[in-house]
Amino acid sequence: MELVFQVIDCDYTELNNSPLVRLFGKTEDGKTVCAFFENFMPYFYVKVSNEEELMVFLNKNFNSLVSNVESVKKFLPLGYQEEKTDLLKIVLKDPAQTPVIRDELKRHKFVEEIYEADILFKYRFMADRGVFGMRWVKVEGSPSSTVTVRTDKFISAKSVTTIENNSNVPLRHMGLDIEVVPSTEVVPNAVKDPIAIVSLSFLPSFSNENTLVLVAKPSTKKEDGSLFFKNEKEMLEKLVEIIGDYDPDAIVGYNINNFDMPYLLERLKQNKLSRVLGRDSEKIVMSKKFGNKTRNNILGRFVIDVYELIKESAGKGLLRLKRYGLGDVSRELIGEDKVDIAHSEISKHWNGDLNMLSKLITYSRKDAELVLKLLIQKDMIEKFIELSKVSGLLLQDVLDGGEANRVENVLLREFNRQEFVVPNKPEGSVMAKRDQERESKGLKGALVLDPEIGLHTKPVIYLDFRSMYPSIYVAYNICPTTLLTKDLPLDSYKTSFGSKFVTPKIREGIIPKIVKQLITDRDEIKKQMRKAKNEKERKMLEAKQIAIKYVTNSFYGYTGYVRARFYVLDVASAITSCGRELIQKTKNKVEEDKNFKVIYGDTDSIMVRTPASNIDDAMKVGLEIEQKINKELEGVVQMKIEGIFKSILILAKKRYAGLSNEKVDGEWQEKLVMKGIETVRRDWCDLVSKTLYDVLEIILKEQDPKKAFKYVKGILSKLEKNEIPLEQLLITKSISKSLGEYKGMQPHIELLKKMRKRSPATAPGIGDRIGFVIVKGLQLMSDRAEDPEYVKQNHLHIDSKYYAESQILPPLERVFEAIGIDKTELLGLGRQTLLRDMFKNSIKKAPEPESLTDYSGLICGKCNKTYRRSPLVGKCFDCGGELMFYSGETKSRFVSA
Amino acid sequence: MERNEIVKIFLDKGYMIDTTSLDFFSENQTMVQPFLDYYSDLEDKTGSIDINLVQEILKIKISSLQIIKTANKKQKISVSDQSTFLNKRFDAIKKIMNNRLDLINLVSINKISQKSKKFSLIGIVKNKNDETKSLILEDTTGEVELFFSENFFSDYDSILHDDILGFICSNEFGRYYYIKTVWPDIPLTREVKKTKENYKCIFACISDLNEVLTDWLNKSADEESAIFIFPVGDNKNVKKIFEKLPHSSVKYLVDGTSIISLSGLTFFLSNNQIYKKYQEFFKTTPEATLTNLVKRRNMNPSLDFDKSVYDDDPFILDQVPDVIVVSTLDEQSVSNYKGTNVLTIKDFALGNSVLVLDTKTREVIKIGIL
Repeated sequence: MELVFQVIDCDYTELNNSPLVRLFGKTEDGKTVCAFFENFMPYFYVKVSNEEELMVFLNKNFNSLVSNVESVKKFLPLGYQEEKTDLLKIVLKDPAQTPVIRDELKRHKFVEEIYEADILFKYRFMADRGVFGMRWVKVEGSPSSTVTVRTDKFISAKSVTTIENNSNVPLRHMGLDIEVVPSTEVVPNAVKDPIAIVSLSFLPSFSNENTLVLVAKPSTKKEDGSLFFKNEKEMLEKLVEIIGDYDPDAIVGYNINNFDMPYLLERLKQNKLSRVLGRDSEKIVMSKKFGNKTRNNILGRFVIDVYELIKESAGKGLLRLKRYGLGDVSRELIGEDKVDIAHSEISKHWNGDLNMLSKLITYSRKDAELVLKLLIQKDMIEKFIELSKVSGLLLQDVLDGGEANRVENVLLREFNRQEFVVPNKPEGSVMAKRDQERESKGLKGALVLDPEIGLHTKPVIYLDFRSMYPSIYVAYNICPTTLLTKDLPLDSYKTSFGSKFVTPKIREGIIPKIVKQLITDRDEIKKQMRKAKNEKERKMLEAKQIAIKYVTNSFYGYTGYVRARFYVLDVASAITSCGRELIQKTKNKVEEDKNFKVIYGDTDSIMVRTPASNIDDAMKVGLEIEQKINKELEGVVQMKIEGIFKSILILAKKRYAGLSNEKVDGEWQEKLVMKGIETVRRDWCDLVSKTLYDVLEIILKEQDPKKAFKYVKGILSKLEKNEIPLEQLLITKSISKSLGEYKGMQPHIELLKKMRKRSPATAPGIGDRIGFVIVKGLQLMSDRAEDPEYVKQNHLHIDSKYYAESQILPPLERVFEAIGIDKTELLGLGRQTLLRDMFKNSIKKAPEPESLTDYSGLICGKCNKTYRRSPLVGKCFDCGGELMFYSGETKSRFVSA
Repeated sequence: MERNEIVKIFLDKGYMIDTTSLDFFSENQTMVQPFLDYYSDLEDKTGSIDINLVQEILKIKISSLQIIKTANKKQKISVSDQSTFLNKRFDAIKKIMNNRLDLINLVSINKISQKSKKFSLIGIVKNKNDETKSLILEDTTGEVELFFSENFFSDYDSILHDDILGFICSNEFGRYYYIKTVWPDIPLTREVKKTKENYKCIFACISDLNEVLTDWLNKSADEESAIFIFPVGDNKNVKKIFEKLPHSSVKYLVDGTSIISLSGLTFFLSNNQIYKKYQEFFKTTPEATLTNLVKRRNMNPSLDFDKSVYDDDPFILDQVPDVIVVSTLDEQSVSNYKGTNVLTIKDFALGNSVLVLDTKTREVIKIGIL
């Protein structure tokens, strides 16, 4: 019998006191498969000083657990060795016992070193048998049957081989979202508060339904696409049944990992229902907390958290939003929004009449729909599928894990293939040693050249090295396996750090080999992309090349990561020292021509100012520079022009904004590029982002700092005159807990208290966002947070000083300082002043009298909080600032009797 | 007066005083002039004055009237002055209350544990929230909000800003509720002091020159009388009257608030207008107003009514006074609270009567003067 399928998951179970590996997958025609592998045993390696002692020890203590011990010859992981080392391979009967034996062996003097004793059994199997996550395999064997596994087909495997197939089997997706009505004002408690609604979405459809809402209360009214139950228990029973019937490959949600899934599992437990939701009949869903993240694992399925995928994109700078709620993200990415029910209103709708319940059902249904739409329409999972194929990790581990695991899996396979053993993950004493070494020798990072701060109005060429660090690995054959730890008379490269690596003639390093292959594969894929027959193929290849790029670029970070198995300070330092050398060499080479000046350089890129007056001429010059540098660095690394900045404003290292021009289909395309200059921040109102963006545009496009300055003054003047629309001054924050749980005073919470007093029925509740503006007054800033509607109705004045000093000026100050506006020329001032001082004319400050004769209260000089009298501590209770007496708008440190 | 100034006064008279005497006069500066007046008239005198001499001469005076504290307002106060003032008050009341057995499970605010169902605090009232019927209480370790349920609204209403009191509280689901106030109060076991000598303390309140009263005082007051004059209105006129009163009596002009001692009895005397405000707050009789304050061991707790900061705070009753006399509540009343005479007097012109306390019997009588 033969089965060909795409690998989805892998685990093991026990059969006749031996491990049985189960490989889950899906065939081209969409059938689910489980292949059983017997006779694959766990093992690890030890280096001992006395074999006899080891044998005696094992026989005495672990006779029943050890299958056999054999002598092997392997290369050790660190340092160039001419010959293999004698090791013992200890084969066990039960993977779960590996840590037990390993930890016991560690204590004994005759054990010098232990290798590969902490590799997860599933990855041990996959690495040994050449199985990669999400790749296609051909399994040969005999038919099998079982009641413990719920797949369409079974096979008792004899062999497995990976086959070439770029396609991905269509997955069955199930979107899931739960609504809970908490019993108290605080966040719901999974032990006490039942789930009210479970909404599901399906792709492909399930019994002709794309969505289905399960409601945990009976209803007299029939609602299409909804099922009503007597209580939560019955509803959850149905949910489990649907999961079994629909048999999704992926369960998708928004923050499903941290909320929906753990909550659902707890409710299943409380209702004494089965938590087996995977493709077998025994394994409960694994839900584990790692720090502040929860990881959920369902055997044979994926749990995909779209919120985490969005945040990953945001982290890479691919998406910039103020907030990442489902509604905000959907609006931005697919132009759709949630149904309008405030979070605090859910309880009211649940307990309301049929119409209100109906609206709540629609609301819940939409949430499940949106999450699936985001995943599918934005092709969010494709990149991760390709990462799984490149790294060999299972897709769920790619989604849940970090970059280190991906690199390690790649290294494990190649190390083993070349007869190297792999070190264990470092523990306490090893970590301490690494920390000490790092402290004494240090790990110098990339070179960031001191920039020429200011506005550059002539075209600036932006060049960068193609895959600099991977290229360095290859050029200098840098690898733990090629590092010369002894003084041997061998052909080697010496890096500027001082470490030596044997040349590829002696031994090709494993990392350089992997990296070289990845670069080659990526180039090949890019060529294929140009010839892609359709959009689907192009997207798949795009995802592939991105995945390869991610893995390739992860190697440097991995070797410098102190907790990595393969961490070697000499290797990490060698890479960065070569990088620094290259940048410096490049700078010197460029500046041989006195007409060229390197105005900035960061890690693997440089910016060059030339005498060219337009971007076409600049491009010509750039190409000449590119050629010259590439000739110089031939065989090491290649440089290419990324773009031309028509103008660029450099504020500091890693902070600049420029008008970047790239040629696309023969035409120049211009865009405003910003690095390290935030224009989107949660605690900023829209006016700040808009003003900053406008100022940068004026400066860069019109190259007129005076105009930009006038523009800002204009904005401040409008603020003072209350002419800015309130919507642009709105700051929003969420209410995440009950009032009593908030310590100290926060503007949005003080406003909430006021809103509750004014109109308890309409005031926002927990889970809602509240928007506020800061109005004028002498009280604490938090006390001056006000609802915009109230401001309009009561004709209150905005605190222009707050908006000017705390919102607008801080980001702009750097911008204007960098320009080095000639202040005397602009303002006729006779001395250097800070920008703040320049704008202070519009921000009036009353002179402090020597002493008041009476006072209304006390006010903090730092945070403006007011007090009726001094607290016992004698200073501001909130911020520790100095207090002063105040009367009206006058303040003083003294009051006279 | 600085020490060197006191030394100069004596030197100008041709007298040298020793350090102990100088210490005494530094602390009892009002005694300098009476001593010098008396000493100057003596025929046998030396140029060197020591403490024995001072004590011998002033013996009658010392044993008759001593000023323990008087309310000196700081002329210019800083925030630090205010917080020091409040801290001292807090410490003083806390000291009075620390060993109270009725403060079960007494903790400081930062040590309130979620596990304690019932506990006590000593705190100063920072804020009152009439909408939520809650207090913010403060101590040196932090602050806490204390809620009042409906049954205790009247208790809530009777608490002043800046009151320093004990509270018994309960913890219900992380919220703290008031159960009871524990007042600093006067201990029941306190001894009612009486003097061996028969002093007649005459308490009179005058706003202006009143010949009826001055005639009567000149006739009735003698060496065994102590006259306490409480001015109303312009002090200058009253001071003139005061100077005309019999020299043979002990006399004291109550200008502000002071605590004095007379033959071992302690008197709290005040003509401060703040008591009207307290009466308005408590909405009760003058004597009940003063009793409410005595219970607090703080005769002027709230900065809402008096923002002044005093050098030597006379309002905090570290020692419980034997007699309390206040002249600004527009009524005359006589009452007794746990052994303390609580008297209010009014302008003589409005009632033509004075109150007279017998220090030996501790009886108070009202005398109408026509």
